[in-house]
Amino acid sequence: MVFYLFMLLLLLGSTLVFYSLSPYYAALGLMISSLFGCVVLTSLGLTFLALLLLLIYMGGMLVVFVYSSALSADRYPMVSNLGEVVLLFLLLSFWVLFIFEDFLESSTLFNLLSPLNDLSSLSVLYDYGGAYLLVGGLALLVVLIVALVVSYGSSLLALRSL
Amino acid sequence: MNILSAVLFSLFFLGIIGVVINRLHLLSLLLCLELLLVSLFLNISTWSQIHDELVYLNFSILLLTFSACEASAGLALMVSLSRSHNTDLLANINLLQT
Repeated sequence: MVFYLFMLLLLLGSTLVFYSLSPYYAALGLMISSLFGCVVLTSLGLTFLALLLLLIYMGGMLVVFVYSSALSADRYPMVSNLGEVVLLFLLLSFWVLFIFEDFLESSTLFNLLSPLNDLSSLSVLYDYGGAYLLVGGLALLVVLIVALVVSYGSSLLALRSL
Repeated sequence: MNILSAVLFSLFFLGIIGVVINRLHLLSLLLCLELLLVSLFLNISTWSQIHDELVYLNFSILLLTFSACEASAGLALMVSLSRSHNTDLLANINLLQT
């Protein structure tokens, strides 16, 4: 039963991203939905994927989002509409709970035999799938250079000259 | 269809609608795009764990990597736009309008 509470909190995070007026509340909703997505993955047995999601998403990408929104977003955004967000969340949760009534099989949740599935499928990435690892690393290098060139534009000085 | 599939489907659908219908800020569009990619990651991971196809767990990790690439490219574009237009609001980015 607690698992379904965590799934509804995942839905709350996503309605916060979708419906909030201010992008700061949307970033909070993205953090909440990725956190409870990690909880959902852990209870299915994919603990390593949950760790990856937490580290890379919350520890990497959302930090980059926070810094670049401090650099470029509005300083005084509009007042939030949290009441409407909660109303939309309640509507969506009633829709999910009372139309889709099949619960998961109890053998898939908290299964003690499955927590090595993600590790054993990731090890292929280093062995036979070495080309995928190389291409992924090269893509990250290209995107690093792209981000630097795009955000600097044509000036040779520091980024913000206030 | 069970409740987990319904919740993950609604995450995906909210992400798509949030990218298509966006009212105010460019940053909230990028955040809805990130929600879309997180929902894809959760969908592929849970589907492959429930149906015992372990190949696609590998793919979902690469998907996470490329979503990080896309997010950083989108954020660099947003920073560059906000430097030239001095704002983030989509209604003010209208230099190409007739």
